[in-house]
Amino acid sequence: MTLDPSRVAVIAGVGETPVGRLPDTNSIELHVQAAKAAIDDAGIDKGLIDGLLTSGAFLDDNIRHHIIIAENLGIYRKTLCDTLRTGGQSWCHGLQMAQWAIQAGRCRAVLLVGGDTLLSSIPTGKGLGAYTDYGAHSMEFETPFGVHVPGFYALLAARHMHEFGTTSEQLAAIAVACRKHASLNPAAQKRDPITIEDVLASRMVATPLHLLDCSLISDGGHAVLVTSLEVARDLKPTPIRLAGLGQAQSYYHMGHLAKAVGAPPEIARTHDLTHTVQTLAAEQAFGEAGVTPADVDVAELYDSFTITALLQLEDLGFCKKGEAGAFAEGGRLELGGGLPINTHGGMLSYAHPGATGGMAHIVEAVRQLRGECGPRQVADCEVAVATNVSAVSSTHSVAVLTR
Amino acid sequence: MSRTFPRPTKISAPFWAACHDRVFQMQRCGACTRFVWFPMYICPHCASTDLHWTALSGDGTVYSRSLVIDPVSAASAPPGPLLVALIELDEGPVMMSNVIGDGAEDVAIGDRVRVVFQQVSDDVTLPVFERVIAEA
Repeated sequence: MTLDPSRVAVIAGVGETPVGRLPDTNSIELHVQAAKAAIDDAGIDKGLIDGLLTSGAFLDDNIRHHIIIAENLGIYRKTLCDTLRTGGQSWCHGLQMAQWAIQAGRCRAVLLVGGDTLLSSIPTGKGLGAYTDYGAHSMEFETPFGVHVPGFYALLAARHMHEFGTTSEQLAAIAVACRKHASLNPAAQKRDPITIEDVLASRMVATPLHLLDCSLISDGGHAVLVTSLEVARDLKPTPIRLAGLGQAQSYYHMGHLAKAVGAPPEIARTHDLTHTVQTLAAEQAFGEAGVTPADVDVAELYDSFTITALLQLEDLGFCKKGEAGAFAEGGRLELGGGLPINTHGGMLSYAHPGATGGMAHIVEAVRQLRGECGPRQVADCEVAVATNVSAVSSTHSVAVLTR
Repeated sequence: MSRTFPRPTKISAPFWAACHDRVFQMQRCGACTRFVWFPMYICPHCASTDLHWTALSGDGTVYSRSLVIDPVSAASAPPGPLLVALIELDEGPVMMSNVIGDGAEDVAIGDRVRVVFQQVSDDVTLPVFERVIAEA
């Protein structure tokens, strides 16, 4: 069957703002700057864009955030336009919505854009409390007991250690790999190389997670432009194919995750706190792409914490359940290793400006496939995976991208 | 410190009122006999509305645990670190809580615990847990 090129979705443009501490800006301006960078990268006529997806913002949010951004960009006619409320999971989710719109012939070009000023706009030390008050997690049955975001993931990490013997050193190897890659990325927020000992010596946040097991807090914005292969053929960049996409969401409440409450028996038997529904998203994404984890040249894995990335090595199928700790050892996840991850530095070392943080993984995957990454380029990169994760590894979206 | 106090709702009020009276109860489904946590309008297992408040043993096992160094939102406003745990109750549900008392910081996954009640304001009493040391 020959696919109609007007119905094949590709990424034709990516863009970002500087990241780190950007004191003289705001989330709206960052959205506009990132969007303009992606539009310029694609070289597409802005008037052709008829889809817009945002993910809201911690600062300057609005119940109709997508409309505010559309007005600031002058994108008048949208046949798909919404604010994704899937948090860290938003952007591979957004890619799938864009893909569906292109495949259905309902849009010609869909812009995904996010930006936030978490570092500059929230006083140091107030971020965890502010996020708690945001109310994403149960204000009645979880946060009164003093748990915060690193605490949720610490409970996940402690359980993984208990079940499989995973060690703090193995978790630290992920932070070390990300920092090594960030040291090769002039745009990254943290570039001084670190060792496993540095991670273990950093201050404890919530056992077993140290400060360097936790992602950064940043300002910044990112954007991705999805269009049809037909449109992209007339644009300058090499089109990057959305070869396979998948998503799966369970719950935020950790007690429900531990017991897969409400799940049909076949799902409940195979899922709990350390066996996430990313398996289902991965099955869809790899299945649609017709590739296996063994075919992947680079994996840009959402890394809110080291444990977040570690779990995905198992649930995406790079190794068996329980073996990710050993898999992460020995430099396998570093450039030159068997499965380089987070070649931009990830959220652990490049930047984590809130909900837009996961879009950087997609931007980097696209640049790796285009061969634009200079000293951090993965040789002969043909298949990339980018993932987005939210809420104690309970909600997932997975993208397999190819040249 | 931005202490977060539970705000009882229509469905959860009986749970919090019972905690205030030092009674540990959850809803149990009359159709599938399973316990339900947190309080709900229908059984999440079988969708029955035949839910009845039922006393629990108060016994459970630590499913996971973390010593949170700066527990910014804790209703109990501890002056230092707080042991946050997921407790698997003997009746089935897993709930978030704290382990308090002697040796709380050393509690391990698999350790046995028993509910105790900790009043944190005029209106709110939290169900928390203490280690149960097996008789020699």
